[in-house]
Amino acid sequence: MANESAMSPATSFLLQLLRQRYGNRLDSDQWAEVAKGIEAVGQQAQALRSVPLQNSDEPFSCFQPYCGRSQVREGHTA
Amino acid sequence: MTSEVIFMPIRRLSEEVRMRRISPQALTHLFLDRLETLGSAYNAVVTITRERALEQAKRAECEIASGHYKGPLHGIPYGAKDLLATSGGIPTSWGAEPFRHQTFAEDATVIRRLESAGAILVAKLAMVELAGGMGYCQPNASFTGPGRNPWNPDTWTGGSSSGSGAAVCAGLVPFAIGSETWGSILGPASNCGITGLRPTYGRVSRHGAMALCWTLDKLGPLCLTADDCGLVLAGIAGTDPLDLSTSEQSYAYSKRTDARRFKIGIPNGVMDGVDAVVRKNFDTALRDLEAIASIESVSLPDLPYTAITRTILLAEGASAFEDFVSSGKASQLTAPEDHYGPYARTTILATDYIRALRLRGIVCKQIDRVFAGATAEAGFDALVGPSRAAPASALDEEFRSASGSAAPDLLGAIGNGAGLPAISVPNGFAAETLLPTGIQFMGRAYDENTILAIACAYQSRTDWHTWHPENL
Repeated sequence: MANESAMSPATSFLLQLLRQRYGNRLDSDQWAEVAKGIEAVGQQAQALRSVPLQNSDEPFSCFQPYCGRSQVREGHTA
Repeated sequence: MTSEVIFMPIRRLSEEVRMRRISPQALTHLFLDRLETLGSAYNAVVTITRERALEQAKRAECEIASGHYKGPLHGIPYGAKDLLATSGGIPTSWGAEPFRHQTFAEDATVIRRLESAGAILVAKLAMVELAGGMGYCQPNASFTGPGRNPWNPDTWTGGSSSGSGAAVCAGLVPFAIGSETWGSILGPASNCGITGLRPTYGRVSRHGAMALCWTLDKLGPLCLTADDCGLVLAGIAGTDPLDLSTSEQSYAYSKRTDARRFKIGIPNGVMDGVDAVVRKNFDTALRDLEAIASIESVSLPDLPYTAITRTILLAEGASAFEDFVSSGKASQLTAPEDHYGPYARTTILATDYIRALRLRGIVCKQIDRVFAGATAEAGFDALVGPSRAAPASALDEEFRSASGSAAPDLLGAIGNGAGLPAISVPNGFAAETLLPTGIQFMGRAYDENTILAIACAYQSRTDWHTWHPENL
């Protein structure tokens, strides 16, 4: 079993979620690797949060309602 | 058919074909035979498309003979990375055992465009399973086996466009189409000592290509020269109503004729973690570039580029293969680490993915300001760095840990996250191992012609791109 005492609480919680979902699909060594992966995801998230954002900072992709009759491409993000 | 043809750039080959000094049918037979006799030595090939190729070659020959010449790709054989859908019962395996016999009813847009241009599909080329999206960290990650580098078959071609890199390097095809989500064109190009172009995101339609990450995937050419990459890009680029991410900015390849010196920036930190031979060859290349460019260091904005691009990659990849992973079929993949690799990324929070998208916008604008400069004179035509931190690794060697850490790839994180074009060209060899290294030029969005011009100018002053493995 993955060494849960060495994990952050968030990793431990998320690992439990995955184990609930995927059951006995992976062995203990594989779950240990998954735990490392979750830690890495957490570290990435921390790096993202190190940059403050304004309300006006939008996701850099524009949603364009789709109409098969005529493609509305004006303003579509290139 | 002389051996000179095998490594003849498309520019020259097409002239021979246009002038009817070389027959498309003879050329096709040549490369089909080479694929059959040599392809397996490099694990480069999934399917040789002999029947289709011979039909296309015969048609091309008739068209050219009747004066209906379509352009520089007419009558030229090529290989397609096996994530591009091909009709007519030709499998499209995505490099993955569970999809080994998968077929599609229609060709991918890129395949259709190349057919319209008169190019001849001779093979579906090997790739890392699911374009490396399950977290592979060593070369044996495809049901075709690890991509073997023609320079030394005990070393790796790089991935995930492993077969595309090997096939062009070994003279099995004059050009190949690969794809890059992060590193999968430039890596094989560098490892195999050939030229690979990653176009601007949206320049080339992704319709009919396996999706790993909808906002990171790009299709592009691997060739013997930068000039050839321009010719191929011109044949495949363009808006496509079947792929709404394609840009309405049209593309026409034109070789630069003016004598203006380029302005190239070396981002601080781009050499972190780089191997000594890569550093040596990079420094030599910079001295060669001084004849055509002013070169200076540049500080980039302090942003978490790797975290941004990696979060987008992992979240979109998790979604693209959600049903596949839920089914448990990841256990059928070749690389052991791919059996468990895709699970951790399913824990990425939606707010973190969206945060990465918001930060992407900041990256795009701030990096574009670096290119633009405060004044026209202060701007840059390209940012430069090594294509890879080290030459090709051994086949049994990990190139990163399964959780993702590896030598930093600053230009890869920025370029792929912001959808910017980049080209890798060979810039030398390691003296002891005779493995090639590469240098990459990354350009502003939609400015492929400038980085192609820099790469062409570099190749006019060096001959690394004319070196080929012996006894091929």
